[in-house]
Amino acid sequence: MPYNVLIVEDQEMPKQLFEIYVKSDPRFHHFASITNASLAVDFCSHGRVDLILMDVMTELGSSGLDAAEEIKKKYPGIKIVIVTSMPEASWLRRAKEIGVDSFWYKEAQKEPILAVMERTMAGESIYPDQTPTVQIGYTNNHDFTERELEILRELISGDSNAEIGERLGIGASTVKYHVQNMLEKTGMHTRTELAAVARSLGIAIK
Amino acid sequence: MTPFLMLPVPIQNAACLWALLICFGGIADAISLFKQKRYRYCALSALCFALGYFLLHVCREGTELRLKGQVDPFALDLLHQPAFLFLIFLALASVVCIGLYANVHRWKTTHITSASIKESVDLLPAGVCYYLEEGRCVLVNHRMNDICFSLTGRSLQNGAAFYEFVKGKKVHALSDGTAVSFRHRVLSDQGAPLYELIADDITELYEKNEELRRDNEKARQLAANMKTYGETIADTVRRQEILQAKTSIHDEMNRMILATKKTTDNQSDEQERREILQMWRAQALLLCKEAGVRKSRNVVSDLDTLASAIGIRLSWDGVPETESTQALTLFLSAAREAMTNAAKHAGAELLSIHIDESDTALSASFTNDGKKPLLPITENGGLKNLRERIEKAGGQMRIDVTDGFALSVSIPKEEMTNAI
Repeated sequence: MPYNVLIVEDQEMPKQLFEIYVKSDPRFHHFASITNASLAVDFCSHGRVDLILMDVMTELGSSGLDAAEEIKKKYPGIKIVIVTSMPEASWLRRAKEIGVDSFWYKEAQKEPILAVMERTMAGESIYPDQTPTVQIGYTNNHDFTERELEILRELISGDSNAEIGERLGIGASTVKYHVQNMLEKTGMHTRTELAAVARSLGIAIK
Repeated sequence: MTPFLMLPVPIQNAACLWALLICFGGIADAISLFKQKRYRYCALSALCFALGYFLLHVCREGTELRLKGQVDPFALDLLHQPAFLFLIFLALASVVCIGLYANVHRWKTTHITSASIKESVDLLPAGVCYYLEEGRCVLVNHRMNDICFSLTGRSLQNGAAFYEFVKGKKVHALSDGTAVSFRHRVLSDQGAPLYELIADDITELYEKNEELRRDNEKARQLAANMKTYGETIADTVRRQEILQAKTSIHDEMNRMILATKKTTDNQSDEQERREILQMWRAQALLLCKEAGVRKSRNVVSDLDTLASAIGIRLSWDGVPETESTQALTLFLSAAREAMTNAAKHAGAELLSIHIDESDTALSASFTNDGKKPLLPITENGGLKNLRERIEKAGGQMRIDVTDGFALSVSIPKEEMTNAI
């Protein structure tokens, strides 16, 4: 009996591509496709969902990771594969923490999604070793420390060093020091440029 | 011994000039000493002047004698006196005159006078003004006069009036591009008070502050831009991903064209041709779909899909048209609550959704064809949470059970708070 697959993806084309993949394999049955992750838990409570392909950033700002956490608490038997194109390191870590079964990068992962789905349903947990390498200025995303990535996520808010420091529980001068370090690493001239580029590349998303 | 009258004329003229210089020196010394209130020395310099004048007079009488041949008998006696006596008196008067001059200057350097105070304060870079209670200025330096002229167009006459004029502002920009700040205090509290008004030159500080203000303004603008960027980045990323998907489709189509060509060249069987056709259909379907589907349409589509999954039908009387994230998020939550109630508690098969949208708010009412609630509705859990979120956003929620469970919400489109 084929596994029922729920697709949670807010972009039409990737959603259609996933549907084509699912429909092309007799081991899977396309149960439904939705654009908002918050509705996924309702499908799990009313339907017979076996596997969810879940995007992280879905319609109306609904987080796929938040929905996955709720589903894993209520219905731990349902398998979840997080699919994303963003190399945000914290997502990979959080997915592991909340018990998501597998994690698949849309463009960067060589293994086809169907193979990942099949292995996930067979009980494997498939995670990439690390986030995809993305060049940012003279360096890449793996050259940033955890603290630097934390600060980078906050920079997009446009808040001052003091405000960011207060949120992270560190001093304004420490924030300034890390920002300066990141500017030197990337060769960028301003913190605005740094934050904008990092956000658009998906390296640091709050 | 040669009498003065017998000296050569040029020497007599030189002696005359010498005596004249002694007269001027004596007058200058007398004036300086009088200013210094040193009246004894003043008398000495007057004596020096008198001696000089006397010798000048005698010398002039000698000239008169040469030119007219007659002269005052007393002067004639003096002119017959030995020349060295004249030289001694001239030298003595000169020494006294020069000594007094040196003494005047030495005294100036060792004593503070009102003039020296004025001279000193004139050299200060700050403006200084001391005035009495009625405003009469006791001491004003050049800089303060310049500042007063620059600000009021008049020289400083009344210190109190000038202070009244300047005290309203912390910093005054002058016409020469400099900036000053005023300090004011009362110096004496016994007898008549003396007021001090100091104008500090804070041009550099003012310019730095102005620069800082401009930089802060720029930083605020950048921060605002960054916030806007943060709010729109999701759409930007979405567009990027759509572009990537389009690229993927393009590659897929290339692959299919090659596969089709290979199939037609190699006399493929029916099964292979069917597979190729299926792939083309899938691609055509994908391309026919609109890439940038609107948020409101996705909400409607998601609710239809969910309703279908849980076994009820949705009857739409209008659909949301707004793209407001707040309005759509709260509408979606309300619809989920209504759907849960219809399916779980009312056993309904149909959920009717009526939409009424204005420029400022999205209103929706949900009714179902299930059984009426037997007990009054107690708002807890989902309904309580929904009401809190809607009211926090400035909206309203109403539940009516007269003809079955009916939920009505009105949600403002513009975000007031982070209610969602």
